[in-house]
Amino acid sequence: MARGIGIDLGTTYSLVAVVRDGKPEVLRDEHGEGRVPSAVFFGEDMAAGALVGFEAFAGERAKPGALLTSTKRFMGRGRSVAQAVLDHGARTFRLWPAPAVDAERLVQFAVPDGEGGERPCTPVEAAAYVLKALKDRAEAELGEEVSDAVITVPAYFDDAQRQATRDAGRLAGLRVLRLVAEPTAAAVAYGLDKEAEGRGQGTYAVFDLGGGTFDVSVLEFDRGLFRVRATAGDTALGGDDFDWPLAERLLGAAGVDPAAALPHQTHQALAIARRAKEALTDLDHVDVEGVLAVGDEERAVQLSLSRAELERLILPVVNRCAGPCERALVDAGLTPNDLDGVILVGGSTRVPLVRAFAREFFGREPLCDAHPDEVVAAGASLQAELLTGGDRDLLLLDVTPLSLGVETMGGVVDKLIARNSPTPCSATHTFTTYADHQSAMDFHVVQGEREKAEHCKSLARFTLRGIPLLGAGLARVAVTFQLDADGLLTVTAKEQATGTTTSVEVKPSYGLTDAEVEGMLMASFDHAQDDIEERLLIEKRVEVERVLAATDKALLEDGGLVDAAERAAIERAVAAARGAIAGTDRSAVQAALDALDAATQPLAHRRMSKRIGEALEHKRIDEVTP
Amino acid sequence: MSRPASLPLACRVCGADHDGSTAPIACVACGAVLPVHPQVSPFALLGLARPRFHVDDSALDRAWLERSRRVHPDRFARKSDAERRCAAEQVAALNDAKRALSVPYDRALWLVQRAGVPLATLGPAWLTELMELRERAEGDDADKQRVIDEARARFAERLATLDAVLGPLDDIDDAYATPSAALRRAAALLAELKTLARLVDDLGGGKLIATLDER
Ligand SMILES: [Zn+2]
Repeated sequence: MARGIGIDLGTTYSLVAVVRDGKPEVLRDEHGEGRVPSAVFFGEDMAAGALVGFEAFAGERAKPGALLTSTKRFMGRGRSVAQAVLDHGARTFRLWPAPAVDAERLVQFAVPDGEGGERPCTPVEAAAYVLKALKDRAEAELGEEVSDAVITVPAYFDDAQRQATRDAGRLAGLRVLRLVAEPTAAAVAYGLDKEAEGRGQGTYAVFDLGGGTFDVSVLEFDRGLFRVRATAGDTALGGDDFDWPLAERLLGAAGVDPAAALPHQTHQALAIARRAKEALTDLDHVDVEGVLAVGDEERAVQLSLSRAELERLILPVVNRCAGPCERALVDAGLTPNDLDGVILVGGSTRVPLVRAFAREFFGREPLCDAHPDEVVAAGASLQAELLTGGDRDLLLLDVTPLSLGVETMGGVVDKLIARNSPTPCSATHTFTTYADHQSAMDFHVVQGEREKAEHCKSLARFTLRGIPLLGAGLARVAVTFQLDADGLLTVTAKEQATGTTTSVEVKPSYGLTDAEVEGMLMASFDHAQDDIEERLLIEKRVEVERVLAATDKALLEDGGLVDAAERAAIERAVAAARGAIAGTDRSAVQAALDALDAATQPLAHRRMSKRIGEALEHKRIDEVTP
Repeated sequence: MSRPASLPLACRVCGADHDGSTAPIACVACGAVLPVHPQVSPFALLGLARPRFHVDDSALDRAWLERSRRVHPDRFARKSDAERRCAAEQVAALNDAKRALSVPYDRALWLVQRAGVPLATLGPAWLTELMELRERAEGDDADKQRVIDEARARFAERLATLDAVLGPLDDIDDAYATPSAALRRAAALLAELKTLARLVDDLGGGKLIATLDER
């Protein structure tokens, strides 16, 4: 069997990992970066295909088009959700207009079609581009074709969101062996790693705050067995929510109404906000500089922020983690004291306020020895290894995060499978006719905890016909729910009163038919012919952007290490590099990069010596401490 | 002691015959994973020779884990489609059995239904009492809390009665095979327990039955 890969398809970043020599390993680019931004760019002059990751950001800066980011938030969701985000938050994209009659159809973004017009693009297609890029990375690294993958999803994803993720995998040419919950995958990588050291048995909470989703799972580890006791979460809560208040402030200061900002202005402001947020992990105060397009000019802007201010802005968002944490513990029948540890996962758990929240809620110092960005992909690769024939002693016993039921008279939900039931599982409920000579019965399948069907997520509606004509209450229809190990539901209804059986099978869907998926499959990738020269230029731009960002950071942290003349030289090189990447001459970009490299040499050297000095100092302190 | 009636079950790979009532996992002839007989009892799946009301919760949980380790489809990634399908059936049946038996209320419900005792309808006296309870909860929060406490107390009292009614049956052969006065009494108690649990849940007093909303 060919090797299977593990993919963490994240809101802001995605990663791919594979097990080599028995160890999970995140696959990296030539700069050692494992994360691929979950960003996809469609340029107006690009006839087919799209730019993904860091290249997508570079593409957006270089030419007109549409940049899609954080589209995981819209996987398997209706248009109303997307509209709400547009109305109340960052406007990073435009929706493809839909006929009013079809308002609840899934979200589609408007992207250039490469021929001067626009076409619709679904979150599934955007995710497929990201998955394809990860698949390409794995194939380049492994030197063999890769087709089997385990993809992680937030534990709290509902059926429609899981289906959408599966379809995205298929669209990217992957056979999706299994969808694994992100906190479960993290627990596997963490637990097996600790087990190798002879530790790690017990009951743990995994606190997983990513860019756009929050999960908390309570699990037991015991000799390769990972058993989820309960899971809870919020699929619309993540570190991205921390950025928007900052971006709003930045836009406002530049005289741009945040509610009317253009997509590219919003992207620029969010990028500066994110840099400020990240810098405040280690610093108490930052001044982050950047540029913002205002009218026809690129205006230099500055975001000056203290950690206290950041925390005041994001506190309401962080506090939303409390509800799911309480639910998970109650459902597991545990209190914080029963836990052996709390594992932090997800890039957003680096934010000091988030750590403080976890510490306070669980009444203990959280464990920070899992790599918050990489541990989910690592766990997925271990499961992929197992499912492609590896003989590791590993078993995941997961649960369904949300109850599944059928709407009954009066709009009340009759639950067939309660939340936190182990999967796979099934349940049957018998319904009777309510009128004489009733020949058909309507069913509405829903998912969620609320009592009324209208407040739950609607998964499917179907009608069972051909019921024998009997008196009210005499015809009996058995509805069976089957939930598979991916958390995907199949519903069967059978009429049994007369022994004759009529049945329908329903695969809940989020609005895309199989034919549509096939159509997209044909359209997207088969005709993608990338222009080599363009790709090389974009790659070079990305490299310059990285060096510019690193230079920014170095000046911010250690600006005192250079004198005025050296600083002026660096600033000249920075300006020249910014100018070069705005153009299309690849050799000019390379020349600017070389010049920038030369100008920053003294600073880089002195920073290095300073670090070494610090490290030695620490060592001396350690050595003298008994 | 009498054993449950045998249920014929054929291996999907080699066709060898087995007794499905004992919830076998692997074929004695070829070693392939076996399908699950639709009529197998959840007790058999969880390692108990025959149905009973009193079970050791932690032993049940251990049996579930142990069997999960053996039948989970992830263990059979290299095996044939037929075997992988059987493993999926096995683990689903196992999880369903766990749901049906892990709470005393559900266990009693399963035993009563298996014996063919119809679910009891609530008597007028009980319905009147229930109505009064609901009315009393309509006052302020203190009234509501008093009703929650009282309903919880009645729930506990009935659960103890259920235990006294069903407990002795565990030691009698075939006690859960056919209807009896004791099982009819248990069915009546179950109906009342459910209405009390529903009342407590409606008043925001928490879930007394894990599977309250199921079925
Ligand atoms: Zn056989």
